[in-house]
Amino acid sequence: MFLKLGDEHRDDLDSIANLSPSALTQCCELAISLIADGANPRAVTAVAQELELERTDVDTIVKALSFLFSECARANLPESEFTLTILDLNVSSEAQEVFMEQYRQHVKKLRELFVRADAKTDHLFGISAIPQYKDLEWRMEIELDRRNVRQLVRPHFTLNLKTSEQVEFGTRDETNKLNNVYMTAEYHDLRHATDVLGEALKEIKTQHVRRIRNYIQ
Amino acid sequence: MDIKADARLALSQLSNTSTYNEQTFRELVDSVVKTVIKSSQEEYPTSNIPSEQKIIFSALVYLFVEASKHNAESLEMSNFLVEHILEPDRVQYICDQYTANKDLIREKALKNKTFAFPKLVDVDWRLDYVVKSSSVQKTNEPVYTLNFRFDDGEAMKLSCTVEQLQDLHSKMRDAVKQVERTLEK
Repeated sequence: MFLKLGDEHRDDLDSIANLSPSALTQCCELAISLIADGANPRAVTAVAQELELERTDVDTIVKALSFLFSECARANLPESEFTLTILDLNVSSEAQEVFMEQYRQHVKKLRELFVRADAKTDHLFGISAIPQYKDLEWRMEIELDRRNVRQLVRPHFTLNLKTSEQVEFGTRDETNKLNNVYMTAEYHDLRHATDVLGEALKEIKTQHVRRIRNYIQ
Repeated sequence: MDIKADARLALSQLSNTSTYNEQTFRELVDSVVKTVIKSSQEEYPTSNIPSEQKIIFSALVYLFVEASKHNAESLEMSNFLVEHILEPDRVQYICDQYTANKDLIREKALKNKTFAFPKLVDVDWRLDYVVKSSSVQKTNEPVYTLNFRFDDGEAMKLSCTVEQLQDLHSKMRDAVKQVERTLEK
């Protein structure tokens, strides 16, 4: 399963055929840094001057290359399939070598970036409606008096469940909102909840779940 | 026990055996107890009380509620009453009624009025396995969805990974163990 390149993309990458391997290496590096660090127009200009090409051309090439790399990294293509993708590009074998080298070097880093970028939004699997667990603070208290009644001895727990929630998901104003949910619990309720969650954790070790995991992978 | 002056004055009226005979007295005290506890089967007896007695009625209600609030002993109650009511039998009757109903008053009438954060009652959970996602994130991962339920009927959903659930579980277990450790001592 290799990546099929779109026609527009292919057009953009056509001009790569004219580049020398070293020039191609430079462009690839610019492409990777575009993904990792963002746009760097000065670097693009510098490379364009060096290669004696139009700045806009270099820009197009770099962007096309970065798209290629990011899509392949996203799909987690192994090298063999990446090769197939490149074959489509119709470039010289040296150029292919350059691509392979660049991909090999940077694919892990790119995947890390993608995972972390989504992790920055801190949301599990893009499901924004449900808040995600962050932390639990607890304290044990003994209630002694109230306005209406004195001389009580009532132990109980106060819990602060910290969650993060995605606000304005998918829009420009997307942020993570940290919520504090306060609740009280009696000892037996807390003990019950702990037992229930313990059971939930034991479930992953069961045969059923293991079978599903192995089957899907 | 801090009882206001006008209540004290009202209570001292109860010494007056001519105005309030034994039966009237007992009925009065009983209706006070019933009102405070608000036993639902009986009607509010307050409408039956003639107006002169109403001041004493409210003084007695006040006395009972204050004493229950402070968890006063019967002795304390009788020591207080003896200063105002001269009849020792009447003092004894009030104290007996108080002792019999003190805990009930504390439970029903007073403890109900309070405020707190919602109380956790139950937790439901669900284990899913993510096969694919529209963003690149880690796939082939299990994810838990928890539903915390509270005593007012509210519920709160939460999602977490296995590690996060382990973290949550260990924190809750710490809390529970603390109590057990304290009990052991």
